[in-house]
Amino acid sequence: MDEILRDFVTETADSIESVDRELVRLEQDPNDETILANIFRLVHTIKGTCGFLGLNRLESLSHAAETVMSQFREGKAVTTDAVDLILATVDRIKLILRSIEENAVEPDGDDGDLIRSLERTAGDVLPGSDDEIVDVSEPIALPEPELPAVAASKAANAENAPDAGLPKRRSSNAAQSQSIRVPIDTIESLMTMVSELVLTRNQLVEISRRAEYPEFKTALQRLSSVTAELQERVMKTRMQPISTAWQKLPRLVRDLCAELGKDIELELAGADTELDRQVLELVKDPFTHLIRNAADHGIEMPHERRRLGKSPRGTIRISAQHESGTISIDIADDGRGIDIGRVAAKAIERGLVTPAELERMTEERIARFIFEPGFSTMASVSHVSGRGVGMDVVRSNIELIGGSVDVRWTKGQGAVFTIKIPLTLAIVAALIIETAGQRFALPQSAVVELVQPLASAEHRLEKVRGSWLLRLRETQIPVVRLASILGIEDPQSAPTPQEGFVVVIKLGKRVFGLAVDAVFHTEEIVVKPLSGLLRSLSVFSGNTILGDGAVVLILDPNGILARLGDQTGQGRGERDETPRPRKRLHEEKSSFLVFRAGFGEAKAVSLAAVTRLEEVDMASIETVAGRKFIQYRGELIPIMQADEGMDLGSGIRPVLLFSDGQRTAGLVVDEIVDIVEDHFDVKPVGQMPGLLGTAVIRERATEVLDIGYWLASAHPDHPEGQAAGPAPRSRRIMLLEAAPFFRGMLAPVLKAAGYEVVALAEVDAAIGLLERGEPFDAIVADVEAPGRNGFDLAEELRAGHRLRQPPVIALSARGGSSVVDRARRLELADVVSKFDRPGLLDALAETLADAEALS
Amino acid sequence: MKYCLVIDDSAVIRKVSRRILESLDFEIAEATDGREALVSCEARMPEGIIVDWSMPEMDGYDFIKALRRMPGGERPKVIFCATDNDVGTIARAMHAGADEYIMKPFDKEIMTLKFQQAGLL
Amino acid sequence: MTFVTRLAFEPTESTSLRTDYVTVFIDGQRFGLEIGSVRDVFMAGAVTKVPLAPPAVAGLINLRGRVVTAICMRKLLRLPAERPAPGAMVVGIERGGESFGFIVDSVGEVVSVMDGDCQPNPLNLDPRWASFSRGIHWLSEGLLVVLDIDAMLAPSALAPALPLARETEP
Repeated sequence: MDEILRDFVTETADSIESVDRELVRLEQDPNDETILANIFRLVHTIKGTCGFLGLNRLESLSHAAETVMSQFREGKAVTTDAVDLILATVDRIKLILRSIEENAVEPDGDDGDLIRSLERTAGDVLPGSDDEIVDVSEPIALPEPELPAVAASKAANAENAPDAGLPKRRSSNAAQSQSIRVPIDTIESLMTMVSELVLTRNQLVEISRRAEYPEFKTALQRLSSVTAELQERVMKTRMQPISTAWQKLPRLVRDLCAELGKDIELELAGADTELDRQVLELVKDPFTHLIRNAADHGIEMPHERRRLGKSPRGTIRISAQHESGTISIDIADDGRGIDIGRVAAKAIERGLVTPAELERMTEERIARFIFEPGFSTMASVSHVSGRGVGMDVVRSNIELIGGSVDVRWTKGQGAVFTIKIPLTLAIVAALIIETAGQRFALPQSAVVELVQPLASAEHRLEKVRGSWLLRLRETQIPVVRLASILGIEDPQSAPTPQEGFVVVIKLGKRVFGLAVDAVFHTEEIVVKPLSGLLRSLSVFSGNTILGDGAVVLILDPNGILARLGDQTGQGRGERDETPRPRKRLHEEKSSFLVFRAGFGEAKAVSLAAVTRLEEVDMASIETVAGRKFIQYRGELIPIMQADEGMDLGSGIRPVLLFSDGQRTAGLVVDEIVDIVEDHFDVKPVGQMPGLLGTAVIRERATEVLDIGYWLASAHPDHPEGQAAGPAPRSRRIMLLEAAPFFRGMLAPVLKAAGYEVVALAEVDAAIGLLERGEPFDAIVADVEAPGRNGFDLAEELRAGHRLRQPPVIALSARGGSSVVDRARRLELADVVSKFDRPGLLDALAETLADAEALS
Repeated sequence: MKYCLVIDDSAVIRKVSRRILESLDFEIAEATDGREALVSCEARMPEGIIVDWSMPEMDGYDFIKALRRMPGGERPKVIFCATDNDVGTIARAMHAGADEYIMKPFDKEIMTLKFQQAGLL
Repeated sequence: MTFVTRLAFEPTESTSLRTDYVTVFIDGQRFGLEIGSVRDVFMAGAVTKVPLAPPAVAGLINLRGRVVTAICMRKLLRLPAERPAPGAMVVGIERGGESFGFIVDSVGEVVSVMDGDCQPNPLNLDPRWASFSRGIHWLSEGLLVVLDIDAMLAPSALAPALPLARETEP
C-alpha cells in the first residue's frame, strides 16, 4: 500500500476514535464549546486529507458532518438525534476505513441516506448565521470593500437567525413543593466556604491542643459540632439521586437492542440512592460502557438463548445501594457469564501473561484481564462497545475517584460487575504520615491497618528475592518504601522498612504495604485539586492545607499501586488477599454506640461500658435533692443528661445505663443511631470534662464520652475506689512514648481512667521536667524505642538519687525475658504490654496503692 | 535553495506537500501547529510558508498574526490552505496577513501556479 | 551579563498605549511581567516539594489559605539554581483559575512603557528565552525583557528541551 495511504488510514482512524469519544462527551454537555471545536477540527482535517487521496465517499461523508458541526459551533442546538446521526456517520467512516486498510481502495457503496439526513439536519437552521458576525474570536472588523459582490449577495440571502440558536438547558416545571431552585454555582461556593470553615476549625483545634484555656475549649467544642453539622447538610445538597445518571439508559438499551438484534429488558433498583454531584458526573461514562458491554458481550442472541433453555428476553439489572461511606452499584446480566478459557487465551496472545503464570492464577485473577488496556475477546470489536471506550478506561476512570470495579460470574448464567465509589470527594478523612522528612496525607478509606514491625511479634518483615514482604496473619503482602516510590530518598542510605511503620493499604482485592517513618493522626482534610501542571502525577490526587498551615500532598493509592507495579515488575498482580473482616493493630476491635443527645454532632460511647439500654418514661423520673433518679431493679439510679440544656419532657426516651461494677448511672439520649466497630483513635480535644475527645467514626467527627466522668459526677459521694475503679483526678502520670501513634492511643485511656496525663516523646524532656521538680505519681514509659527510652530514663533516675522517685512502669510490645530482666534489675514497678489496656490500668492502680502504702 | 515551512496537523498533508515541494526544488521543514511553527521560524525564517487554518494549540490566523509581528516576519510568503470557497474564511486570512490562498486538495500544478503568483517561483 | 547586543534602532509606529510592568531580576537581567497579570508579591516561606514534578516546579506554597504552585524562573531559563530559601521573592500570578508564583532573584519597581516602543526579540537571544519573551524595551536603566506568562506556564516549557531549540543540552 502506498505509504501515504497507510499514513492516512492510521491518522484518520485515530482521529475518528477521538471524534467518537468527544461525541459521547458532547451528549453529556451539549454546550461545551471546547468539545464542539475539537470535533469540528477533527472532522475538518479528515475532510481535508480525503481529497488528496481521491477518497470520495469519505470526503462527502466528512463534508456533510463538518457542515453540521460547523453549525453547532455557531450556536445551533445540539440534539440527541443529531448526535446519533453523526455517530452513525462516524461508524460508516470506520467501516470504509477498515475496507481501505484491507484492500487499499474505497469500497463501493452509497452513502446517500446518511448524507441526506445530515444535510437535512444542517438545513434546519435558516442560513442566517453569518460567519463574519458570529465568530467572536475575530475582533477586527472584516473588510467589506474587497469582495463587495459576494458579500452583498450573501447579505441578501441572510435572514436574521432566531435567537434560539444558543442552546439552553430546559428546566423542568418546578413542582409545587417546598423547595427552591438554587444555581449550581451557589452550592459550589457554599461547599467551598464550608471546606474553608473545616480547615479553620482544624487550625483552632491545633492551637487549642497547645493552649490551656477552658472557655476557649468550650466554644471550640460548639464550633466543632456546628461545623460538622453544616458540613453534613451542605454535602447533602450536593447529593443527587443516581436516577439522574440513569435517565438515558432505557433509550440506550432500546437502541442497543435494535442495533444488536437482541431482546433485553432493563431493571433499575435503588434509583433513590444519592451521591455527590461531582462523583455522579465522573461515573456516567464508565456506567454507560458497562451497560453496552453487558448487552454486547454478555447477553446472547434470542435464538441462542432459546436453545439454551433461557427466556429469549435477556435482563440487565442495575441496583445501587449505600455501603458505609461508599455507593455500591451492581450491573448484572443473565447472559453467558465470562468464558475464562477465552480470556486466558487472549491474555496469552496479548502477551499479558505466560502460560506458567496462568497455571498459578485463580479464575478471579484471570477474569480481571478484561480490564487490561487493548483487551477484547470478541473476534471483531463490535461497533457498540468498541467505541473508543475500553474496559481499561472504565476501570481507570473509576479508580481515579477512589473507587473500584470488579466482576463475578457464573458461566452460562450471567455476570455481575460491581462498581464501588466514594460518596463524596471534597472532604475526606486522611491519615497524616511522614517519610524522608516530608509529610503526606493518605485517604483513610484505603487504609486497613497499621503495623509497627519492630514492635510486633506476629507481623514479620522478610526480604525475599530483593523485595520486602510482610507476613500479615496468614498472608504475605509486598511492602515498599513510600520514599523510594516518590524518588525522594537514596535507596542505599534509606532506613529499612523494619524501622518505622507499615501502612497496609487495600484497593479492591489488592493489598500492599507502604513503609513510612512516622504516623501522626487522622485529620479531616479538604481536598484541593493539583495545579494543571502537576495533574499528570498519578501518585497524587490533590493537596491540602493542614491545621498547622503546612501544604501537604495527598497520596493516591491507585497511583502508588501503579508505580509499585513498575518497580517490582509484578504488574498489577500482587498477592490477593481473600476478603476478611477488617482488623486493626491491636486485636480487640473497639465498639462504639453512636447516639444523639441534645444539639450538635453525634456522640459515642464505648460499648463495653454500656450495661443496658432501657426505654424509660420520663414521667417516672424522681427528683431528690435537686438530682434526678429512676427506679431500676429495686435501686435508685441517678439519671444524667448529655447536655444540660436538654428538655427531658415527658414520654418514653431511651436511656443508656452504665456501670463499672460499683456504680451505675443512666444517660438520657434522643435516639440511638448505630453500633459501630471502629478503630480506637480518639483525638483529645483539650481537657473537656465528660469528653475523651473526638473520633472519626464513619467519616463523621463524633464526640466520645468519658464514662468515668459521668459515673463520678453521678455518684459524688462515692468513696474512692480500689483497683477496678477510676482513680481520683489528682494523680499525675507521665507517659513517655516516642511513637505518636501509641501516645495517641494510651493517653486517652489513662485520662479516661481519671488520671492527669503528661505525654512526652523524649527522655530528655522527661528528665527536664523531673529536674524542675514537677511532681508525678508514676511514670509509664516505653522501653523499646531505639535510641533512648524508658530504661535510660530509669537509669538516670537511679543515678541521680533524687528524693522523689516516682515508680516506673515499663511498656513493652514484644515482651521477652531480656526486657523483664532489665526491668527487675532497675527495680521497675512493673512490665506491661502496650496493648493490654486493662492490664496497664490495673498495674498503675496497684503501683499507686503500694506507693501510698509506703509513704 | 529556497526554504519552505509546511504547517498542518495532518501528517498525510505534510507528506503530500513535502513531495510536491521537494520536486519543485524547495528545502522543507514541517510543523504540526502554530506554536511549533513560530519556534521554527524563530530559528530560521523561511521564504515560503504553507499553513492550514484549523490546527490545535494555535490556528492559522493566530499564527499568521504572530508571524508578522516577529522580527523578519514580514518576509515569508504565506500561502493559506482553505477547504471550501467560503469567502469569509479567505478574507479573514488575507486580512491577517496571508499572501495567497490555495484550495485543498491541491496538486503539483496548482501549487506551482500559486507559488508563481506569490513570487516564490 | 547581558545577552543581547544593541541593534540599529528600528522605527516603530507610535501608539498612545502604555503598559505597566512589574520588573524582576534574574541573574542580573531585568524582566517585565505585565501588571494586569500580577496578583501578589511575597516571600516564599515554606515550600512543599512535589516529588516527581518537572524540575522547574519548585513546589507548593500556602499563601493565606491558597495553594500556590511555585515555579523557579532560574530553572525555567536554564540558569543554575538552588532550593528556594524562605526569604526568596515570589511574584504571584493568576491563570486559568489557578494560582502560580514565579520565584525570582529580586523584585524591582513598576515601570510604565509605551507599547509602541516594544522591539522584537533580537536574533541572538537564547532561543529558550526567546520563546518566553514577547519583545524587549530599552529603558534608561537597561534592557527590559517582556515575559510571556502563558508561554512560561505551558507544560512543554517546564519539560526538558524540545529538539527544535538550539541547545547543547542532551
